[in-house]
Amino acid sequence: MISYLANPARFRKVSKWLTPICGGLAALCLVVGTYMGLISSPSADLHGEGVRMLYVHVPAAWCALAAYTALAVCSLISFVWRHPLADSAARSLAVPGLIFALLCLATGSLWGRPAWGTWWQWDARMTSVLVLAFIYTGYLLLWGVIEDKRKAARLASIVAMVGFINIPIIKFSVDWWNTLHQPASVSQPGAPGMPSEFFIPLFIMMTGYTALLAWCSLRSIEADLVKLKNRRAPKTAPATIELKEG
Amino acid sequence: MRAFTAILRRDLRLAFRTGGSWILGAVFMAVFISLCAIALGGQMSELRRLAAPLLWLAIVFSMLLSFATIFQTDYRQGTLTQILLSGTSPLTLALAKWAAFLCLGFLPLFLVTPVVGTFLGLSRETLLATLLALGLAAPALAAYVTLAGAIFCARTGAGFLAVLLVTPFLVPLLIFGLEAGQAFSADGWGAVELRLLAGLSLLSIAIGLPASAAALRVNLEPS
Repeated sequence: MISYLANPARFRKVSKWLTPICGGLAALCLVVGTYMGLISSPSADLHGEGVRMLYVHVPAAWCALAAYTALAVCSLISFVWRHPLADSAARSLAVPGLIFALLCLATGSLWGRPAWGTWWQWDARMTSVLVLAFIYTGYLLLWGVIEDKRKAARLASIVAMVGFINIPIIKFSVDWWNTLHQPASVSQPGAPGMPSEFFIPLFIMMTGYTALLAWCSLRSIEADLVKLKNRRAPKTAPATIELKEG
Repeated sequence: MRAFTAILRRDLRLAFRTGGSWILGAVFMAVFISLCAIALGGQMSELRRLAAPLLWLAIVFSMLLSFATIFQTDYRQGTLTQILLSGTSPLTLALAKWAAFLCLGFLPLFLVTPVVGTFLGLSRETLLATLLALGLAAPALAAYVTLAGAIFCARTGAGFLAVLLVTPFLVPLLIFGLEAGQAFSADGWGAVELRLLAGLSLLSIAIGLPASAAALRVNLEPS
């Protein structure tokens, strides 16, 4: 499947119908999910109305992680087989991934204020999402500063893969660090026994966020392909020079 | 192996002949620690509590900021290209450069640590534990700094970016390094954190050096 999609023409054939589907699904799910999350779902015993934060917070965290996983897989493909399409797929995931990570931190902070009485806590999960945001930033800046885009692609893929191996280690070490200093850790909702009136809106929002991520990525790859095509198109007009007086 | 020793010896000799720039890391560390002591109010009791984390931060930043010394001059002079053209594998080159950096970028700091530690009022036991943890973590720190150097060998003035790129990978080392220091003072050689730190260090070498070799190859191949 990788080699099938690596051909830009075939990729465009697939993306032509996949992109609108993802976009439509994202719009539909986000509207329905927001309605259900804000209005029709009940408030929780423990969190009160604050539980509605769940529907924007958890999907953002999931998307930030999913985007990085996909980015690392694309980087591996790009590093091994050197498909330019995999480069542009990897890069297209970085900006939405960073935004989702920041959204996760922001909503978590807003939720933390009423739930735990503080905007920020050096809790294991929060710290690891923060580190993930730093990894995204470094990755994007690496793309930005290196002028030769083919070199940038390969260096960025190396960094992405090293980061991917490190993420579980960082998670483990931060967990260790946190449990050592703070035995009574905060509990997160999302335990297996979540009642269905919370789970259904959450599931719809997750689908919506994931579809949005896929849509952003596909649009960005399509834009890269158009750019590539325009650059390759031969210029038929002869070069002209205009001299102005004064 | 011969290429490895040759590159290592060459780097050490060059460093000693070109006016002791390797000592600058230790100077930076002394200045950084003095600034911290002044900013924290100079209370010995306060400083003693924060001494180990401050020493760690000073060493990490001193090593990070000297990433450019590893490859940049050799890249600009064409030495790296020549070494690779002579049939040496990039991994051997990365390994030799890593070992040289360990000697030039870390060893002076390590030797200065006891002196600086005295200024912070560190007790002998804590100092020993900190030195042990630093020694265990140093190969891993050097491996990631080598990675930063390899990625940015073709670019001058990438300092902040290199720091940003590598810092996330240093989070586990910093956490376990500090924990290992504390655990060693409490439990001695049997401490779990000490073993975890050693394992982490080996893992980081196994990740960092091949990645450095790959980055060197990317930067040196004609495009």
